[in-house]
Amino acid sequence: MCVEDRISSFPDPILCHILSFLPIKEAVRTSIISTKWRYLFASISTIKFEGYSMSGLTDRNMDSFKNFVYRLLKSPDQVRLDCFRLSHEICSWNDGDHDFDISGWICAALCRGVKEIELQLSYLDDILPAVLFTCRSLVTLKLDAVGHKFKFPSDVCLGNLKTLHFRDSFFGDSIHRLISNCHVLEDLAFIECDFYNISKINIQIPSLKRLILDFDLGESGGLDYVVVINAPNLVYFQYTDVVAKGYTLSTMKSLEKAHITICGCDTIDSQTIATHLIQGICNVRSLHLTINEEIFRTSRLPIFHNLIEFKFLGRGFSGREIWLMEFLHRVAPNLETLTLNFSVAAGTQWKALEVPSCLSFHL
Amino acid sequence: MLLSKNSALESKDNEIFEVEESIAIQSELIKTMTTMVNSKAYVNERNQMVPEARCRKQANYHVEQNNKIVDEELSDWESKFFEVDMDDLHELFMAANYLEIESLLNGVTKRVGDFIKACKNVEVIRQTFGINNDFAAQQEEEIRKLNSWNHI
Repeated sequence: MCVEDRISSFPDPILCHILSFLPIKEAVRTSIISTKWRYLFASISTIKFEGYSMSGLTDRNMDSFKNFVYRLLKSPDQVRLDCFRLSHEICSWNDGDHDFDISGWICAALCRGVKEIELQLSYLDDILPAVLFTCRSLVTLKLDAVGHKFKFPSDVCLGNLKTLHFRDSFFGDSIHRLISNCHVLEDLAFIECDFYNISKINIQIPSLKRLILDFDLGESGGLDYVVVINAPNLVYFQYTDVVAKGYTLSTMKSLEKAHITICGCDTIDSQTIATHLIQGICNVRSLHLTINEEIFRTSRLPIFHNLIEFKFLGRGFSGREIWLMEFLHRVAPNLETLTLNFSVAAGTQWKALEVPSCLSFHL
Repeated sequence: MLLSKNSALESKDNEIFEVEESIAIQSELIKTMTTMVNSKAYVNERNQMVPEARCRKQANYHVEQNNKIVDEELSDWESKFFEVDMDDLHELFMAANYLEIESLLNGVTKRVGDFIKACKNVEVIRQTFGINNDFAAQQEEEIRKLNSWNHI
């Protein structure tokens, strides 16, 4: 059976595009197929080094690998690079003996006008070049930097950045310099991060549509900072933290979904503060809330005119949830779906609840 | 509310397809010609290059794509649509390339990538795609040296 060679008649840019879907090892492997394929891999638009690509590396072939990466990133530098990704396995090789020039690799990717960079790196000291934070081509930047404390210089500016994600990192006041110089930012996330030595977390981004503030819940006492958010076009908001010193949120008319977890709301004062956050999201359509349900008894909540779905996780229900009635009748008059998650103490007796007929009830 | 207009497209084999205009303009080529010609039904002379089978496949592709609103359904259907052999993929590619339909092009390239991924080694790639190895022994040796970390 003789198969006709159809694939070699595809134009080179299409073949490069095909190779971009492959893990880097497979893409490079094609260089030995035939003379037509020899240099195609060098123009792939996506360069990803993940765990799999590092398998098979030994001390002996390490130099060959480093040379390869250098050549791949450096040339041809007139061909634009779309995506550059490094995962944490690289770090396990980046000890004193082997010394990968990760900073050099990042610079080379930036020179090729890279649009998306995703780095999972531990021990980031001195690895991130300053030019990373003044790059005009970057649209997406995701940094997972185990325990790194970020300090940004004053000239940071990522004018085309739409997505910025940080994971497992620490930030001081200098983060505000970066955020305020990302004028088209739409998606901002701090996941498992922490802020230190600041009095205010200040997020003023008119273009923002998605915001995740997911902080470590290790703090036992109250926090020292207030949270100020001015993001009138926000569509999705996720917030997980111990209750802050105060909250100021601008009106969010387009807010579709909010996932809010506030811990440490044990006093009336802290519950009052938490109410300010809840007030800020009162236009939301779907709300997942985890909080001490005392807040419903002690604080007057705003009316949620648009709320059609509400999911609540509380500490435990006593079976006489009068606050729930008030919630259903006054606070969320248009609610369609209610989901309650709770642990029930043995022997709890439920009093009959009068629920609006249009409500579907999940326990 | 606007009623959807239908465009009539004629293929190489003189078969006429009626497609909703919103679907027809997914092809950049047709979109350009529509804005130039601006009529409800037109015969695209240049489209006569495209054989009937391809046109029908495209029309189906887009109708189905527009019908499947749920993401999971769409990706299931898409995987089935592209589960064809290299010859058919080549046809789809030629049509997608000529008519400049990005989503179809992406589907084809992903599928070819899957084919390559499924090959155990370079020899299997050559056999699957019918590619002739035109390297001199020395060139091949050079490449293997450069890629010793990759074990090819």
